[in-house]
Amino acid sequence: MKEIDRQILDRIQTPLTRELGFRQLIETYQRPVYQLIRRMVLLHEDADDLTQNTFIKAYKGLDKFEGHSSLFTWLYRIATNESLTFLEKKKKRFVFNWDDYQEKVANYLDSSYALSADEIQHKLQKALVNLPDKQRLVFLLKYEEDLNYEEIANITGTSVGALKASYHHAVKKIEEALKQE
Amino acid sequence: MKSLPRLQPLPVPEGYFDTLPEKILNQKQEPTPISVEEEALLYIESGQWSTEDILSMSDNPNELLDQIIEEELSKTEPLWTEEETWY
Repeated sequence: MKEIDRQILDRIQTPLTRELGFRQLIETYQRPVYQLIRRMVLLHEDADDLTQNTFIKAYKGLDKFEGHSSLFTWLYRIATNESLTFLEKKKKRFVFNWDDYQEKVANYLDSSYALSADEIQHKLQKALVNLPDKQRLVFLLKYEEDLNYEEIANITGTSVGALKASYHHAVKKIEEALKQE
Repeated sequence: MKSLPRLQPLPVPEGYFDTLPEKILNQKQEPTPISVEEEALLYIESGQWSTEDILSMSDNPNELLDQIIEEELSKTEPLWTEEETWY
């Protein structure tokens, strides 16, 4: 276990320093947790809500954390569940105007990258948006976060074989999308 | 595959991470303890306290009983209406 995780857990397990420990947990992991969620849901307002929910759920479940994984893996597991559940609900809610929502996201990407004029980034983001949610998640964890398959399997609860296949499909689709435009 | 670039971080509002811990810490506060009235209501609604229990805890059980009867009666439908007695 990493030293920082040990310190956070020690503080959380002591009633007098519990609050301090939880603050340290948030301050240590808020950026990577937010970035992963943001990549999944794209809009800041949604990512903000889900990041808060992730840490609140972590707080409520801290007593059950047994230390078999790192705090980072455990937080990512909550964050990915939150993101996938959110996207699933959003799809159901927008079942009749899902295209409108997709257009909103595409417009958001257009405006976000208009200033940087970074065409490759724009294309890459659009290609990511068009991936199925779970493929996007696997791609982000493997390629962007540089995690190995065993770590991703711990986060997603999926077999290494399934993850490899999912990543392979995601990369193919992204490469195709980048070639096309 | 190696030709794929790293993703640039998506823009975050300025100072967002400075305020986020406080927002989360405020949210996780334990629920505030309920008042005596709310606690009593909880016992009544869950059926743990009967009318007799409540009367036995009162300083003026008769007064309380009158109040309960009055409240209960006002909720019940009248046995008949003026119109019904007309014919």
